[in-house]
Amino acid sequence: MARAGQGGGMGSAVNVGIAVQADWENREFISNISLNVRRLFDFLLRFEATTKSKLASLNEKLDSLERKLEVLEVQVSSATTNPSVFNN
Amino acid sequence: MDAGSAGDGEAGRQEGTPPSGAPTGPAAPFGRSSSSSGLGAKGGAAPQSFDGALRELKDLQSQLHQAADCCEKAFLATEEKRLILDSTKSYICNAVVAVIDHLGTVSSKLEHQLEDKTEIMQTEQKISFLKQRLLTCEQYAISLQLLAVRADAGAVQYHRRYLSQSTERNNQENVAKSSRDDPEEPLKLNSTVAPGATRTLKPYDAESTIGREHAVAGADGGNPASTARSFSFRAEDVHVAAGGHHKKKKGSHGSNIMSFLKRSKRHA
Repeated sequence: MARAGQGGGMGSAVNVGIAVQADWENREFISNISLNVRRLFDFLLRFEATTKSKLASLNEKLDSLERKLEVLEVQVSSATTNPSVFNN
Repeated sequence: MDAGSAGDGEAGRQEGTPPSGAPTGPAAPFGRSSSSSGLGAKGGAAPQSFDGALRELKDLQSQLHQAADCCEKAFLATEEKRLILDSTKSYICNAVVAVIDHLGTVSSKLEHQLEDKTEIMQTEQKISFLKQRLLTCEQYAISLQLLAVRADAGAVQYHRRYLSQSTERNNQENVAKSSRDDPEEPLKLNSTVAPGATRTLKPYDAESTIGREHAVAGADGGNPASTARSFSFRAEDVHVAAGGHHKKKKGSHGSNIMSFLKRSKRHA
């Protein structure tokens, strides 16, 4: 009985050790996954910031182009409505 | 519901390795198809667009939700929980890798689309070219206007303080004289002279006005100013007329002498 009890205690201890090891492995896996997800989230934040800045610069360029085009249109229309300037 | 069956609509996504020994375990519905297609698109003939990559990433969200539900149901239903747990772990690893791959593809495509905006540079160059052309036209028009202003002698006006008293007196005399003179001929003579300017008549002017002077002489009434002004060509006229008359007289005088000598010879 004592041997059986010792054997059962050893087996339970081994089972507990295996369970603890599996638990630590699971924790390690979860921490790795969470770390990767956080890195992914950081990348997404940086990507959003850079994309926003690039889109803002692009929008600024397009605005400046629109203003230049409007100025050119006004100049050309004034020149066409007053052709005597070019017919002297 | 299997995640693999949920991803049947998307072709090329069944490349994930299904967990071994899991009859109801989730098969990875995504492989690295997006990155492989993206890499192939860089050198391929049909490049995948940014919209396509973004659509794949959005579809991945629903597939991941369905796979999580499947894993949970399988873990609760089966007796071999260890096996399901291992398969779920491998599935999560593959899912994270696939999501990162899709995100990289989407970001790289967006980056390329933002960097390859050559149309803006071309439009800027076209606008600068048009502005240059318009500026050239304006400069040309301004130069033409300047030439017209310089050629217009009537537009030149001097301020009174910059005119000497003699010039003003001459101007007043010219004005008074022009009002007193004959309304036709003096106007013709003075019309081309700017007010306040002294005109020096040249020989071709004298020749062109000789005939007129004779016609005007009677109507001029002995105006000293007009005689002084037309003195030079009048003297030439007189000189020419006198010269011609003198030649005629000389010729007639010579013919009289010759006739007298002939008569004296005959009489002798």
